[in-house]
Amino acid sequence: MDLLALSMIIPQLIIAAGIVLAMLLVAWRRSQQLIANFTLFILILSLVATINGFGVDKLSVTQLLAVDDYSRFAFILVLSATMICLYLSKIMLKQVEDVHDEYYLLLLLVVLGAGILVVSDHFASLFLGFELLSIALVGLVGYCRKAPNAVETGFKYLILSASASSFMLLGIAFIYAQTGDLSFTQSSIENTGLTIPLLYQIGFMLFFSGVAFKLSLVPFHFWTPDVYQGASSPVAMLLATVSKCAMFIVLLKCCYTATNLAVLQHEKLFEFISWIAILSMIVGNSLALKQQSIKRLLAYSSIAHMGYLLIVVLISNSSGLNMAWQSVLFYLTAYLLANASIFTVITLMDRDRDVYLDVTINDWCGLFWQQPLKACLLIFSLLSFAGIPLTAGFIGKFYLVSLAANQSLWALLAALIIGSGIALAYYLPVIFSLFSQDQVSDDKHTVSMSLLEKFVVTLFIFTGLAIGIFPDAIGSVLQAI
Amino acid sequence: MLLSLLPFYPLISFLLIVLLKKQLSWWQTSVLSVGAMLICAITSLVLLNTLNQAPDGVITSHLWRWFSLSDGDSFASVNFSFYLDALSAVMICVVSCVGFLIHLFAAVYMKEDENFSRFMAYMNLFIVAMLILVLADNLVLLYLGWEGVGLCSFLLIGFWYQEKANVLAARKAFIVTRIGDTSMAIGLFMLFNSLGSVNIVEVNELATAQWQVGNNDAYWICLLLLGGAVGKSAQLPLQTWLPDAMAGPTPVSALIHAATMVTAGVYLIARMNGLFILSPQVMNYVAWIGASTLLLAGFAALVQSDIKRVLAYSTMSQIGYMMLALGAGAWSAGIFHLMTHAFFKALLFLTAGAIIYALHHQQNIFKMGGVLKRLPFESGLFIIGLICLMALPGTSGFFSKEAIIAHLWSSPTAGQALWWCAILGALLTSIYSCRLFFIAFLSKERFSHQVENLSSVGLKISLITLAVLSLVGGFLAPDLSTVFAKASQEVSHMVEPQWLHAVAIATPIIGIVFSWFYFSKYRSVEPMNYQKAEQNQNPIVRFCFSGLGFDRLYEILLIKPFVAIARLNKRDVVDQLVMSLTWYIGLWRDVLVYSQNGLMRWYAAAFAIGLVCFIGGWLL
Repeated sequence: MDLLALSMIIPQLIIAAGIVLAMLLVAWRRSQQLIANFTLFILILSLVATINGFGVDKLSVTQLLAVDDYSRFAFILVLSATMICLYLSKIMLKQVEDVHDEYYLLLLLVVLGAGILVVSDHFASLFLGFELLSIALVGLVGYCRKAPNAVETGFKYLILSASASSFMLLGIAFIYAQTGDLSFTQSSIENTGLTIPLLYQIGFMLFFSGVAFKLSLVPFHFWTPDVYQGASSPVAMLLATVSKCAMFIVLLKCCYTATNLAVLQHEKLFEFISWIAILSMIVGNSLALKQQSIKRLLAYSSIAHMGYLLIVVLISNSSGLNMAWQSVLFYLTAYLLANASIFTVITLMDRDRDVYLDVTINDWCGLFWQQPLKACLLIFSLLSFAGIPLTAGFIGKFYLVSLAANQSLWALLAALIIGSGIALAYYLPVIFSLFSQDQVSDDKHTVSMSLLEKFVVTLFIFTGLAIGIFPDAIGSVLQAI
Repeated sequence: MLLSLLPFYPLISFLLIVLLKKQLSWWQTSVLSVGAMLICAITSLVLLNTLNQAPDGVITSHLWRWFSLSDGDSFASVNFSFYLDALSAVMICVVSCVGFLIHLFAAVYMKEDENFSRFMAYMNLFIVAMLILVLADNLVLLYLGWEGVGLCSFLLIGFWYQEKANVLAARKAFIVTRIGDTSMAIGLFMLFNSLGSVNIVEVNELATAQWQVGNNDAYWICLLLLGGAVGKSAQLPLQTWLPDAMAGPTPVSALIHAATMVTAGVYLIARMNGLFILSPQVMNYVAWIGASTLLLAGFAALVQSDIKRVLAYSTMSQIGYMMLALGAGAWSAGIFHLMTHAFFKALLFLTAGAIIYALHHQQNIFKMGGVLKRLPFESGLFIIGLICLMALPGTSGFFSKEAIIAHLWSSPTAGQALWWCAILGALLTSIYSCRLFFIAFLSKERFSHQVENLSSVGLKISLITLAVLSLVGGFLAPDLSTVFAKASQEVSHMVEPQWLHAVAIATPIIGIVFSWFYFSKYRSVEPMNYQKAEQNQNPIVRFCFSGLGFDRLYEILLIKPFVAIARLNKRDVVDQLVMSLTWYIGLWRDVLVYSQNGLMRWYAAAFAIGLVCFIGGWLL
């Protein structure tokens, strides 16, 4: 491994070094302020290193990793999401218990896991990143032990995640048994022509179901609402953004190799994934109907969003790959921004009252009349989720629709449209309740926001608007990749 | 520079009035809106003057690029650009000068209205749209103005929206003109499709260069554009909205439904003259549409009892003259008549408004009578308006109407039959004018209220200025030879009989003499029972009264079937299907909710079952 290759993974190395240093820091002095700032510093350093690396061609770092601009962009998304999470965690942790050094350590571990996932080019590194991410997340999910369901939620996530890993491992083992190679870009199958070995197919399905668990695709989605609701808001945001973003990127990296593109076009596997996508869109959206708890609602909507995104996995010709990557990254950016925005509002809400209380739609009644800034952010984010024009979500969805139409994936397109139709039926009521006049007299929204919080909220609003109105700003960055 | 600013004065005034609605007093609002119009009028006159010195008689002003259209290989950019030549100069002068006078009048007339600022804001917005319409250098911008004036017309007809009839009238005007607009839009699409440009000058040049006379494309495009013009200018068969549009305040009727907007159709055809001469057949249609509207409206005006409706029908018939002129290839005469008509019809409407106001909103001429004695100032001005309308020698109407009639006999696209129509129309004009005058102004007064005179300097200034313009307007004939240079070569010089001009000049006088005797009972001193007379009308009169039954015809042919179909599908079938879908989704959701029971063993089992199902499906 020469220096050039090493320089490719500097951002990940910075995080890894940061973890070691953070542990030493904990041993030296226990101070929440200190370690939070240190974590932020590490994240910014890594972000700078990632941005600095932009424009370098795809390069393999040993057999395990391959870094290209897509991974860099995804890692930027991961890092930004983590920084937002860090900010929210600081707000949240002030309220809970005494000192929380481990929390930040776990946060860094999650980032490292995600960082490895986005650059992995090999099933072994994939599994490594996957486990790093999962185990750190288990710790985070159950972190606030005193919360009513924290331990239960942590256990659920741990056990289900472990079983998903085992399925995945079995799948990887099958693939290895068939090909004798764990790299994403196998050559042995290509030689056999169009017939794909049965064992490879089963292996791929098992592997996919492991990934689908993380992406909470139907029917591997059951854990999602419970875990979102049980975890603290910043952690739920981490689950919704970092974990899904990284898993989806690695899924694409795995699927967009010459071999697997051919494998995916195999009739039965194609149907398998189509069914998962369609079911996710419909079931996710349907379950979100009449949902009172905001976090559960977001959990169900994330199921549907991942279902939409799955469309890009099914594209057939390799010429559309660039376009597919662009759409995915754009969609993820929009998705991440909207999630981060809503979770920010939830966290600010948590801060103003009992942290462990679940936020329901009723709590947001008449929010617009008392805290218009927060309400505006919520409106923009929800509209973005619903894919209304002039929001980033619309452009993202538009990309997906055009991809699906180009590839003649009519069944998926129909499901996407029906799903989006159902989605309006639960996003819009939330927006309406923001304007409701009924319960304005409550004093629950009276706590004013600090200047920094106002700034963050305004920043989110403007970023969302800017992406929605000038999608080319991000589009051109993506096109340059 | 001056040119590009022109529409912005009223626009700024509009925005200020809308934004500061509550804070502004009557005085401030009036100064703002009327002042903006005054600046507009002065600018227009300055522009008219500079245009004479401009090389090749054209001033253009490019503001910004709006958007661009590409059609495969050809690329056309649609600009916010203004194009001023002799034709649009006449139009902006009419729009801004007459507009200014009417604004001045309206500021006094509408003073008592509680929504005064809204009224003035709409009026200003109308002027903005109208100026964009006439100054547009491309057809898309023209269409923007075209729709803008339509919107303002809708808003102003329904200005007193508290009364249902006004709202219905506004709706009718909007929908009927929309039919024309749709046809025009299709015409524009076809035009862009075949010529690849929307710039007016380019289109006229390209059309002449690419198409022979009688080209099929040109025929259809002209026909569709004519549809738009017919809708906007209230010509047959889309004329039904104009009489109802009189529901709006009187200054609106004067500005929009007499002087400016309704002549937009005439302007459109004159603007696209390069295209229309390629299609003599459509020119012929234009002439015949003009002639038949002219006669139809003349007959309808003969029996109306509402003073504003008489004037509305007379507007229709005068626009019929303009159309006739355009159809006959007498482009300059048509535009000249447009100008003079704007003067005297605005005068007529405003004076009528003043009279109506003085008589406590009494519009029925049968309930007026003896106005001449009670309101001598207004009556005098009204008489001036009427003699211009009748085209008595020496008035502005005389010059323009004679110019039109003189062209008809020998025009290749018109002919002798149309000449006779025009003469008959002139006769009708003078008869209905006399009837109106006799009933409303002579005889004994039939109203019981005290007259409430509007005495304001601004009002008098505007009325007197319009009266002067109406009288001397004939000497202000615009020189449009540069604009229509190509189009007017075609007119051949046939030998015309000597008596043509004599007949044309004598016709209005014959009409007056005829009315003097025929309507003698109206001007007699002893009061007659008008209510009885109104009820005992014969069917023909009633038929004419309803505008020759077009409303009824359309109701039977279009509205009834449409409403019947709509009623048939009252519980929208598609909607029912969609709603049943939501019911199924709700059900589906209720079933699915049971799967989220919070039990981990079930979650893990479901995970496994799901996978097993998939693998099972894969094996089969």
